[in-house]
Amino acid sequence: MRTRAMQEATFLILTALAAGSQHGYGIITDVRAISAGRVQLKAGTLYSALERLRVDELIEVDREEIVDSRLRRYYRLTPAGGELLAAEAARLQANATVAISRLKPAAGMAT
Amino acid sequence: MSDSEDLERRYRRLLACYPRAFRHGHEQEILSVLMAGAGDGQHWPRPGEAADLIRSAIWMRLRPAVPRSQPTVFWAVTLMYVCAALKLLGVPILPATPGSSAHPLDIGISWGVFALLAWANGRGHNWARVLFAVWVGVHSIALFYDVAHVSASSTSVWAVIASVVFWLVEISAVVLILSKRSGAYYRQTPAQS
Repeated sequence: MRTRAMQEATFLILTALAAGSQHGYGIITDVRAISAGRVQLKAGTLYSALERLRVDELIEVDREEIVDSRLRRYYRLTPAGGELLAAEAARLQANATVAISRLKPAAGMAT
Repeated sequence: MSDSEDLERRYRRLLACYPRAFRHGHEQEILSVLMAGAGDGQHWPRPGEAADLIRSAIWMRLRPAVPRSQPTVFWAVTLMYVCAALKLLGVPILPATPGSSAHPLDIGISWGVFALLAWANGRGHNWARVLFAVWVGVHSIALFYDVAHVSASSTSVWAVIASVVFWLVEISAVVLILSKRSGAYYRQTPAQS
């Protein structure tokens, strides 16, 4: 079945949650680290994406904590979210492998 | 009042742009993230951050809240937006089409109805589902009348063909929205504002 390519922010959020549950600020810092500082999610964008992912049942609330009298809600991947992330990662890897293999001969000819 | 309290109050004002139900469930959580990311001595939201909150709040109010796990409702709402887009396209085109009696105001009102019903169905409002079916029913009767009288009136064949294509799109949306599966979704899901 044909599926739409996932947006990068969505891919990075799901990747951040792949290692375990995280709260909003944790996801923002993790996404920044995963993308080597290239993607800096803002709170509005993050919660818009989290809400969409929750409605689509790709993530769910794991637990809530109160830290310094502030609410922290932890999210985790659902099995469907894990499957979707794995499929998208495989798709990106396959594309990248083809791109690299085609660039190698071109780079060899240029030298 | 401290810098931190000032900043929090200003963030709360921005968060007031979000739909009430979403705010009720997430305001404290988003505030935690915003305050955790604030710099020392910061007492105003950064412009980029404020713009992002407003943009996300508008998008959250407009976008359909139908999960992809509900394909009948999801595609019905998508087709309703297609109807609205086609109507919008018709505003400059139809009145200029030879043999068409369409008036820009009529098309504009019709577009408004489709856009409103698409939005309300996307938020899970059952009244919008019923109203959409009734609206399409009325449109169907008018279309059958046009088709029956096409040779006797000044209505061009092309205008009728365009109407039939449009009707097929809207009737597909009705079939999907009135399906058993969609009915279960509307009954079980609380409508969102």
